[in-house]
Amino acid sequence: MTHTTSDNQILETDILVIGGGTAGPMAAVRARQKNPDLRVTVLEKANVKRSGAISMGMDGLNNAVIPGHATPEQYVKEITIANDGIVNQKTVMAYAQRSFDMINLLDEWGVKFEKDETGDYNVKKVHHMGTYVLPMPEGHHMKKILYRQLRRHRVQVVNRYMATRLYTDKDGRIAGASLLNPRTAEVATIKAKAVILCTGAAGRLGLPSSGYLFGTYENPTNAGDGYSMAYHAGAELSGIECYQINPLIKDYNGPACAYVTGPMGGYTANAHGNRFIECDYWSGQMMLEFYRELEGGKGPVFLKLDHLAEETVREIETILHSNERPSRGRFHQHRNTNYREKMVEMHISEIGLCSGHSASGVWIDENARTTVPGLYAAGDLGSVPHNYMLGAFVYGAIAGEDASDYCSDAGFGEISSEDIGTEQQRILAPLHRTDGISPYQMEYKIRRMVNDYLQPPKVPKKMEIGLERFREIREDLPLLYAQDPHELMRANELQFILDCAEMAAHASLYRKESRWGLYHYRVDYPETNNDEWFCHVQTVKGAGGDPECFKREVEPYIVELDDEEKDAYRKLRVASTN
Amino acid sequence: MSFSFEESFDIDDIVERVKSADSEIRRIAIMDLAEVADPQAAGLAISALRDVDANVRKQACRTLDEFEGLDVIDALINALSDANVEVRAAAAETLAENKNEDAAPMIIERLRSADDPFIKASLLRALRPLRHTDAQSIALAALQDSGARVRREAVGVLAYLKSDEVLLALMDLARNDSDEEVRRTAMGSLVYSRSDKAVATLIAGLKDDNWRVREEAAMVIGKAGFCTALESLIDAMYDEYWQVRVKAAASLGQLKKPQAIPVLGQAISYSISNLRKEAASALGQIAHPDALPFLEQARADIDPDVRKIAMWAIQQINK
Amino acid sequence: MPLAKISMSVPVVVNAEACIAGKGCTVCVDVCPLDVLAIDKALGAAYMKYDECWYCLPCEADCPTNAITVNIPYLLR
Repeated sequence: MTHTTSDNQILETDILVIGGGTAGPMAAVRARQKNPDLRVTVLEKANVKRSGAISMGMDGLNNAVIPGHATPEQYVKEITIANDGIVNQKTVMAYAQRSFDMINLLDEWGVKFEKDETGDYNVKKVHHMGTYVLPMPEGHHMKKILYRQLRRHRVQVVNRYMATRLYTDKDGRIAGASLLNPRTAEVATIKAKAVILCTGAAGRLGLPSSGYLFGTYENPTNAGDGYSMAYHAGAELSGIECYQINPLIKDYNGPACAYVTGPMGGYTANAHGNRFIECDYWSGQMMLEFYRELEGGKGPVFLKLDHLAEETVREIETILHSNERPSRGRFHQHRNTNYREKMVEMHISEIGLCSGHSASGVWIDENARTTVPGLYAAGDLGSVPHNYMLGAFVYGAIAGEDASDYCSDAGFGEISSEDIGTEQQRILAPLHRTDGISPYQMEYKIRRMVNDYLQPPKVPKKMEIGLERFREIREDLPLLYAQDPHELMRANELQFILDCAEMAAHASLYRKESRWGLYHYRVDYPETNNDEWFCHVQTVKGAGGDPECFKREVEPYIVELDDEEKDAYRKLRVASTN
Repeated sequence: MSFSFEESFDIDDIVERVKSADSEIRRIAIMDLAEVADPQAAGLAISALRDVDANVRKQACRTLDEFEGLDVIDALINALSDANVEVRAAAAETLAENKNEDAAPMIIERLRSADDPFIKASLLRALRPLRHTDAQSIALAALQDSGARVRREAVGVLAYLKSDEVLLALMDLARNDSDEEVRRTAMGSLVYSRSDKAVATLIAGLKDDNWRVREEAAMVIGKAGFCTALESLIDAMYDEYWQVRVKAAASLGQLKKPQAIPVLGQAISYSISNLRKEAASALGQIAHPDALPFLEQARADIDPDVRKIAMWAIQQINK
Repeated sequence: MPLAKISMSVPVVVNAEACIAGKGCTVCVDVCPLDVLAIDKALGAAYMKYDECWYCLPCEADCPTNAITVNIPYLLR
């Protein structure tokens, strides 16, 4: 590898992994394990030591498929039901079959899962169909462990560089990426035989109700970089209309982690202290019920722990205040919320795109391949529904292994110098101006419009107006002004956000039915219409440069659901009796 | 303009900084060592355990987490006797992360000569994940230690070994130890046992003074499938703590015996919704038609989780 | 278009006495996912330069001298 370069120099690696959070490090390590001769580079906008959704670890697995507790077939069925039938089951099965091996690998690497006194995994029962929660009360060392593996496998790590666009060759095959250093504004080009996108969710799409740009549910570094880059590279995206919306602690905007408190007796309740959720699966349907209770006469919604024993509350505090979003404790302190005495007020998050929690992602198959040759996606970005953290690890591994094989036959694609010139000009333009609109103002405006026009319940006319506003903001891009390299990073990120906002509006307008509960609740088509819309909705960059949508058939199921199971789900939606 | 893809630290530079008269510079140097693959690195970190400054020593304990080798383990064991409490704690943390089984004989050896309770507990904690059979006798002896933490860690070592030979000792502790955490841990360790004597211990555990011990015993009975404890488990459905009753209900479901139907049916009317939910779930696992009237009642529960489980339970019976 | 300067209270507080950035430590600046921390060379201490905090705490947790306190940003508090 070339170690230094100037703006015009071109670096080279065999596999470029973009994003060093969860899936990325796993992809890189597996690629190197499979073929130690390959040059594998992880590019990270922050620092791999503490980047991505699990920068402070994770408090548990919520989709562990562990023999004796659940089978892959059972898991595939549940995800199929939770995602209203719109799944490529092969991708879900590929996760489920490797889930347990991945847990064991992480355990071997030093990740601490909860175990019973004899050292066996302490799996908790949550659903009655399967059992998938494996707590990680000491899960805060995740990133340290991943970083150690990156070093041991001699993966080239490049911190504080963001990718701005992918390059393809004249045949549409992946060829490399354009890079920007957010501290120095240096730009560079890196050629790669294969690129694995692991850039996480589009977490800076909606504006949190606090109005604080960075007070998002997702790690706000995840601006939708991968969605935008895959889109411009010509890849298909899928289920963009199936937004991510999550229940959370109001204003704090972090997860309440009901799956941590659930097995200990805590639950989500209305103002009367009663449970209200009819739906039994983490799904848009559950979020719709949550939303209705929030807005209804028995609202808002709370996390109820005040009935638990002192010992249990103390245990919950230790877990929730040391993992994933550890500042929860000091937030509660400010509000005088003591779990023992007061229920914790909850709310729903701003909208985002995320396959890990819902189903909006870059389309991939069971080998993590996108529709662009040589381009892979994994983690929250790859279109495998409800994949969560463990799915990110499994798909990272799949992508790393497959990309490693791909590299043995593939050469480097040609990147045209014209493409490089145009891109570098685009990236740097805001820094070359002397005044104009600040990236914060422009981002705020985009995201405020996302809330006003794209948030469900979805109304078509509103989404059309939203698209008009986004177009106007796009026309303002030549006014965008960055005072320093850091602001230049934000100026480039907001263009990712703008792409995601437009895709979200287009895909939501295209699917003329309601599905996935709140995620795609169309007020003008309130019913699910399986005759016309039992399909994926794909989004691609059209010839005119705007997003275009089309239908993609659902692949034949490999695990059939019998009528009773389908029915069981429908029955779970019976109206509340209280 | 240029940038470097290699961000790692230069070992020669670190070697210089480690010699600095300024303890903070030394401390940063030791921190940086964690990222260096150079063979000198581990040795430098080990030497730093003898630094005059406690913060440097503490950092050295943390840095050593990135290195393997028996010399590292040996140095960390020595650091368990450091004059500074934070250094001792950091050494214990790093030792507990060790996965190198070859270190077991050394840890056992050091355990033999240890008399400080913190050191003993830390060494036992480090032994547990290694699952080394030679650790059995020394852990067994440690069950008699006067320190509760030592006894607790010793139970951990033995439970991980899942050996029948030590069951009697674990049962004794589960029943009679003065420390409730030790009793709870020991009770939990019985999950691997298939012996009737263990059942007697667990039944006694259901009557322990501490509710968490009772909860643990109730859980283990179900998980291990001890049907002979059925009656006692039914009695536990009257425990003063609903938390214990919830675990007893769950275990009654796992045992799948229709004799539990009346007591579980009664629980369908309790005021704690978590308990109603668990009772309905247990009735579904037992899957006997006698439970139908109770489940019909649960289908109209105010709590939707109870209703959902009741519907599922009825389906299990009708299957 | 002309620009205005607005002052904001920021959530990350650094105890300059305890901070050893002047001695070469860059831990908090390295681990911040949003790259909002910087080192004031004259003062020899880190500070929060951009008001873009996710109150995620790596800076506080990884600081070797416990010099950092992360508050919840005022708008959310």
